Amino acid sequence: MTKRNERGRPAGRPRFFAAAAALALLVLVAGCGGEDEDPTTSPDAKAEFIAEVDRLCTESGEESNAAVQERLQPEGKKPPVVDDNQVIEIYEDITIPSLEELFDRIGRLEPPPGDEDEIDAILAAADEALEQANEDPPILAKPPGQGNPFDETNALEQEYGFEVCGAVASSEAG
Amino acid sequence: MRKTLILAIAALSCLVIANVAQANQSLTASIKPAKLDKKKKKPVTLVVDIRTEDKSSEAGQNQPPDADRTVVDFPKNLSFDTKAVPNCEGSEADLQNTDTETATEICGKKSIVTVGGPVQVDNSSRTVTSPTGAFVTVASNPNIPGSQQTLVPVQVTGFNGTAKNILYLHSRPTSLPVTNVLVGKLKKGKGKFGNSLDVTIPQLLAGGISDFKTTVKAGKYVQAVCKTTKMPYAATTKYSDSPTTTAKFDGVCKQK
Repeated sequence: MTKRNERGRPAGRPRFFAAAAALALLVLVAGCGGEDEDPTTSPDAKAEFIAEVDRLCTESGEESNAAVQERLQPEGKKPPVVDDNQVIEIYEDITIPSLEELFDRIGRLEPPPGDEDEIDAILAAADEALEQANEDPPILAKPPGQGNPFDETNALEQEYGFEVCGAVASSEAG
Repeated sequence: MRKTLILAIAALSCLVIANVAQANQSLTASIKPAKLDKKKKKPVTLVVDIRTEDKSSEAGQNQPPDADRTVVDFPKNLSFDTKAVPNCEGSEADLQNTDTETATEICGKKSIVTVGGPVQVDNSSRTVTSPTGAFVTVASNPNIPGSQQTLVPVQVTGFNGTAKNILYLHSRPTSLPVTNVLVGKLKKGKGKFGNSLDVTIPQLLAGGISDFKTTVKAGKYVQAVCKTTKMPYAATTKYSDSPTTTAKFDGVCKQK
């Protein structure tokens, strides 16, 4: 079972149907005189996919922030003062479930044709990061690039071209 | 045409400058006792507290900038004798990923040069109230920018480093598994300063440092005279995401 199936890819669109459809398309193309098809992703499709996934990340971030604010009720715009245990509780109760839901939603989207492997790699990295985070929530406090479980996910997201997802500055993640 | 171009460049420059978050840092320092002989050195307790304001009050920016290096300049009245206390028996690498207790076991208790104990903070003023400690921001989400920040206290322990004139500042929150060892090198100061401590700063936790306070305990490690009553201090900090800042503090001593 692939990572994306694990994340709840719609049951009515299993992989073998996609494979069969791709095979039929190949036969059709071959039957039409074997003209070469451009295997690269359509820029429009990729741009639309990026915009949609970034929208999900923005939405998830806003919901997560609202939940943290509701819990800590900071006064004014200054960050609230907490102890280590409160940070760990936030990771357990808000951050991890929120990221699980986010990547589940991303996994349900149809990637642009030709980009399936790249998106699968992002989702696999996120799965691994979430597994680590669930096992040891405080690990999320590690600075980006210095052992944070989301380092690989962030790097892959940025490499793909997302502008919000994974765009965590070195001084910001946690 | 030329005038329009100049105006356009000027306007663009303003925009660029406006987009660079300006840090603001303050420094306070003191010694105890403050009444000292003009010539005869005496052990003193030295407190240095460096506070850094947030880059901006905007969400996602409401944390201090990311400091890479700070040079703290000390007055000529102060002198450091790094041979007066034993060196840490381990290396900087040995201290990585250790908690305070383990770091103390590795280095040896006698190599500690700062006043220890758990970090205590004042939540309303967001400052460290214990003799030594730091306050660091932590973001709540490691995958999405602009996440809600929180401030977490960090225990800091200063060890006399393994090599000559090196100071290790071991920094560790109570439960979060993030240890950072700041390495400071004592150098001869320039101009009106006697010594300078050049500290390389790795990222503490996942955010900027809003307060970093160290109290060097009275002993032969740091001694003072009151040759002149003026005690100038300075802290120059370089950041990865903000222009360099220099904070100054004019301390005083009384002559016996």
